Amino acid sequence: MDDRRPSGRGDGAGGMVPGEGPAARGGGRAPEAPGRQGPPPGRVERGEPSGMLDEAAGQARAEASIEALEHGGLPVSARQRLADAEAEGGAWTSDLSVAELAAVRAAGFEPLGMVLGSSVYRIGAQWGYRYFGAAGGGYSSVWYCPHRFAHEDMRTGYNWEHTLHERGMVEARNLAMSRMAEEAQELGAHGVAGVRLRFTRPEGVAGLVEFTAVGTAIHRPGAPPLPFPFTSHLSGQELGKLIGSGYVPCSLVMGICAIEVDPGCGMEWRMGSWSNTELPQISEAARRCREIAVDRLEREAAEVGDGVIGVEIEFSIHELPGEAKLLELFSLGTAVRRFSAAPMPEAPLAMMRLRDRR
Amino acid sequence: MSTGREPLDRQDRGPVAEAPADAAIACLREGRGERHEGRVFSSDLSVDEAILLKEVGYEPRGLVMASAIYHVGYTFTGLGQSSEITTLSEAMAQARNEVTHRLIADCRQVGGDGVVGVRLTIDMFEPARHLMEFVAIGTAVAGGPGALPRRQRRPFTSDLSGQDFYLLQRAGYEPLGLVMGSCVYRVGRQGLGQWMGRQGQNVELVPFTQAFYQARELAMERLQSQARQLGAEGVVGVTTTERGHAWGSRAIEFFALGTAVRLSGEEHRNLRPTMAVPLDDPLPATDPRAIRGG
Repeated sequence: MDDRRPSGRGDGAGGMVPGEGPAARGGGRAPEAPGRQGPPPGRVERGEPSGMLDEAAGQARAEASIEALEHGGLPVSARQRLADAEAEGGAWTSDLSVAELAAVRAAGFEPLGMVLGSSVYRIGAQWGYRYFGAAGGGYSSVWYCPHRFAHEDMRTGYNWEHTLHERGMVEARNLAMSRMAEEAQELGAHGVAGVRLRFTRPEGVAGLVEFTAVGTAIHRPGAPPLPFPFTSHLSGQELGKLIGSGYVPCSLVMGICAIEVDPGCGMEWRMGSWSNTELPQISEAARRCREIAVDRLEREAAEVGDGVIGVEIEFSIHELPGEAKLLELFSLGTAVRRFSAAPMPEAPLAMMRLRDRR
Repeated sequence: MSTGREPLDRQDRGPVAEAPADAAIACLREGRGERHEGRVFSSDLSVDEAILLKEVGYEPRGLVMASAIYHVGYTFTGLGQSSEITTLSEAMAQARNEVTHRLIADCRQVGGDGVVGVRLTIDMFEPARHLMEFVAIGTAVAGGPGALPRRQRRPFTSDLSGQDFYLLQRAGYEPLGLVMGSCVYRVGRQGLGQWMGRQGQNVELVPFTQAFYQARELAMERLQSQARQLGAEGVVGVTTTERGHAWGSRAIEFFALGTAVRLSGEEHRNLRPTMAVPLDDPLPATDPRAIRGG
């Protein structure tokens, strides 16, 4: 991640969030993965039923797990699950449907096991621009009063980026994805199919988020190992179709941006007017929000692939106290590389389905 | 249309030298293969759309987006008579034109010849204050069978999906652009006497029927005149919507949207579809709500 490109798009807004990188490369993980060196801390013998541990042993396991997580490793129980699957007579698990499994096998891959990564993260609060300026860096713009004369309601507007929030989201995602990728690597996988990246805000603690990534590790028998397994949020069928037509998924990529709009009096004035006009302050914030998020998505993709497909965009506007609004854009897609530009072996057949509409 | 490659009826679909899975892994390991050149693209194409567009020779160039936040408020026009509120019709048309223009500018910037899968939506930013966000999102693509002549023209826009686009090309048509027509209409109130007199009767409200007719006709007429200006042969996939937006029951917008097309070759090519009984179950798509969280 040291080969990060300098930020583009002018005023420092398009820069990568520090610590950002393609998910599969494991942003939060130390390069040599200390958790894997030597005997893992507190490793429990295989076959010991986990439900029958006494309290002291449970405590020891929890401490060993925290120790491992802090050093970029996996919790004890995850390690044990992987060891069980790899051992002689171990069965693979998968969350692929029967049809997906058939499609994955038809594409030449075999399932190895379900893999998971999770991180619970607290995102710090960022204080207002009006009093603290753009302390966190990122995009900001000031909207002065357009009237050019002093009046009671005169107010300057600000648009500013919540960089702390963005950084936290990216890091939490990286931790979850890297833990999942580490599990997959442990199993000797070439990739992870059908990754579901879930993001929740548990109740109770302000700024708490949980990222969970779940998928099925797959491998191509006989093929040389990859430095990082590929990850994709595509279904088994989609994976089969994609590889069959000359594209290979590289990594799940994400681009986010959060911009707060503190309206100035120019905006208030326009909203109250009788004329039908554009509101430049929010228009600008929404445009920049999209531009920055997609730019980040493409930057993540540029490190691993040729482009991104299946981008899903979630744009939301939260009301904040005092007329302010937080525009938040969350985009997610699968970065792909093309390995063959040739068309499909046979042109797709045009067909009419003899099935009633649902 | 014999410019460049002919992917539609290609005969030289030779056997693939290497199993795709092995070629894929080699590509990930060593970066080998016929990679895309130039800018890294993003796209909201599904896998199926991406591979069908590749089949007709289009390459994705980037996700393009445009938005404009407008204040489009209700204008008082008097009671009684039903009539078009031209200031609102014009404001809506202007806002949509503006986002389409921005979308095309964005498309040019990423080197696209056109935009597929355009979704043109209006989000109510703050309904009480008549703030509307006009948004257009699509994927810019370049290439295709008519790549050479099209480069000199304005990029096309289309709300067709990748599948529709593939079929359109195979049938011998080319898209020219999105066409739309909008008419904001105010439905007049009936007098109290009329209202009293009609209670307990089944009657057609002829003035209302006439008003709705006229509003729809105006919207469709505007769509057709845009299509004529583009030199289109026809318009496919016209959708019509009737929405009150934030104006309550006072005014309704009739909006028609479609893609203008014309034959790119001599004549229509028949696809001769095969009848099929599918054995697969419908797959649930990825639920974006699960990603965003509650």
